[in-house]
Amino acid sequence: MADILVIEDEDNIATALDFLLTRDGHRHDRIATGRGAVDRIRQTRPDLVLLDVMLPEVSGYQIVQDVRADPDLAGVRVLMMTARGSVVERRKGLALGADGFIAKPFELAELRAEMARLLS
Amino acid sequence: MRRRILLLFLAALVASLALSGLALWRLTQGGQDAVIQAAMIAGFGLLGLMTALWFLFDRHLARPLESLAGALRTGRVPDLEQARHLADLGPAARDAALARERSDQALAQALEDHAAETLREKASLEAILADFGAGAVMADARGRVVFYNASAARLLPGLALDRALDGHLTPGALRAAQMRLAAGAAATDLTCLTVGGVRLSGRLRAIEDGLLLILRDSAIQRPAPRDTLEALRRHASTLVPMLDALDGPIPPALAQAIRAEGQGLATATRRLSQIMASDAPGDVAGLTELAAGLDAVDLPRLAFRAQAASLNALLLMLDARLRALGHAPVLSVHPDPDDQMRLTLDWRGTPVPIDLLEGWLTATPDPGQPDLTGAEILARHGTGIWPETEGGSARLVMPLALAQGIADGLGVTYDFALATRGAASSRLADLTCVVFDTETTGLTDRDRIVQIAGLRLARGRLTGERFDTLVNPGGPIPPASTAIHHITDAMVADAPDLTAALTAFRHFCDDSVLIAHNAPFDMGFLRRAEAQTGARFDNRVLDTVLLSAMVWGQSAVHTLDALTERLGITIPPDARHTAMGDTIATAQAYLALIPALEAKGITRFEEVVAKARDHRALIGDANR
Repeated sequence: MADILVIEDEDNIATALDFLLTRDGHRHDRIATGRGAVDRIRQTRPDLVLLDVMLPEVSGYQIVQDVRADPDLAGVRVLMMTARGSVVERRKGLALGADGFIAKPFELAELRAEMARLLS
Repeated sequence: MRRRILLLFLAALVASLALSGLALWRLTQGGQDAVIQAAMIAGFGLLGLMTALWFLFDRHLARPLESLAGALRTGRVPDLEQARHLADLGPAARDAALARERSDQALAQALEDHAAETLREKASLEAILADFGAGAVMADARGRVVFYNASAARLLPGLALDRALDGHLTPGALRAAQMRLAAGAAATDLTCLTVGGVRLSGRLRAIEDGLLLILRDSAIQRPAPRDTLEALRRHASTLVPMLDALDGPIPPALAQAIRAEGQGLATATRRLSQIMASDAPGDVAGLTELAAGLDAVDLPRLAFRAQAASLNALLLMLDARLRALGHAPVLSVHPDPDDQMRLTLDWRGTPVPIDLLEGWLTATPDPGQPDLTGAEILARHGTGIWPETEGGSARLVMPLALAQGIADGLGVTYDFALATRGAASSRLADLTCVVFDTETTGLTDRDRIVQIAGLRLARGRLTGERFDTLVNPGGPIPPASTAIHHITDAMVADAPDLTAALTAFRHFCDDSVLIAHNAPFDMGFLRRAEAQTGARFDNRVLDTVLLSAMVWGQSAVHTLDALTERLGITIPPDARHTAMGDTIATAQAYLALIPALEAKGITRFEEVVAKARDHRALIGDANR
């Protein structure tokens, strides 16, 4: 069981993730905007952040860049999820400090495997 | 002639002595008038003698010499009868005059031939430019139109000689393209709007004292359906995990069907994403074009799959934004996996927040394409850009796909006179040949090619067609070899492999005689690779080492340096031991050797092969 923060503005996909994470027995919380996300991570220190890229106000890329600029948050794993699945977007996410990158639409097994890798 | 003059002076001496003797004899006779008569005999006698001498010199020397000089000055053939007392001078002057007459005739004929060839070329080029469909405009150094064709007049209404070219186009686009040329590019792509708002694309080339612009209608480019794809992906990305989690209330068959449909949707969107991601431009841009106007370090000679105008404009915009923040970015390139290079703008200082960078990309940097945002330019190149940090330095990183070949080639190959020089034959001066050279990892049979270059010759002239590529040997290059040809592992990392390179070279030298200096060495590398690459080299072969031995004998030194020095051919020091540098030197040596071989009665390929048997002790014959 892990503490997971979902940062996702699309309600439907957040519902799907809520269903999956609950079923797999993870504690999780969700916020729907990028603003204030880094402060929330500092407060709650989740084991894993499931981070959407296209967020209102502050992008997922900016959040991961800010998280990696804070040495206190070095232990927080960040898994980016984006509908832009190109190779260059993956490289961009990893270059900015994400620990994993998964292109939407992902399959459940793919998401589970990536989460397991980051939480191990 | 000298004898005649001697005899003449002897005769004058005898006559003088005779006169003196007569005068003395008269004196010895005595008498009242003896002295007067002796003086008269001597005086009048000498006067007569001198007059006779003057007459002879004037008639047989002075006048013919004057006439000869006049003839030489006017180019007239001198009259030999007049000059009959001038010994060989008359015939020599006549031969000189005849040689000059022949030389004048040959010069006149050559000028006439050259003028005719120029006229033929002019007519051919006019025909090509008139009908090749694109607009062609030439402007002088001041930007005034000096040439245009009918297509250009249609594309740019109001185009006229001596008018300013930039008055017909969006001004920023032409200026930006000229800046890329000034940065060292031989030619650059140009996309622009006419003053009437019509979109044109083309290529601008620097020519002697001016510019050549080739323009086409730019097909209306429908924007890629990125928003639609984005929406499709969002729905699929929501649906798929939800379907994945379904169980219980829905009958299993129905759940499976829904899941299959959802996965189909996911696969289709992924495929569409891949297609759009690989939608990089077909244009090729040299690095010098992309870097124009930027501070840059150590830019290698590379070509990218890129549209020069839009990408250079984007880089200039990013450079300006960074400078506004107080940074001093410098452009450089670094190897990257997957046939790509990373372009980086580096500076000392703090990194740029990614959201600020994304905001910059909403601007439209290219004046020639004012509807294109920076993000759209990156998407069209199948790439992106992001900030990175390292120590106290920061950079923006942009991967970019490499293009095969170099963008700065002339792109036109012609020899209109080829048709007038007769058919190819086995005469050395008529052969169709490819002169080539290889650079390798070493000198043994196990070594591999790392570079190959070739030049085509047809009917005794270089055609201007060239082949030049690095080759990835599939293993490390020994430092001792790199010290000779300066080719490093990094340089060949993205080069074609042996099969790709030799297949391309096979096409280049099809139906040609291969010529190399020490041909058994280079041919050995080509032929040992045949089983691996499938590219066979059954060509006839000429070796400039053998040809040199046929001209100067086996005891002379026949290295490329010695041969070129004997023939007065200079190889620039930095070109020696590059495949193309040595190929150029070998081609020049071969062309210079042809007349020397002909003078020795060796005029045909078969005669070279027969003669080569005499030189087997020196070098083997590479012909199969």
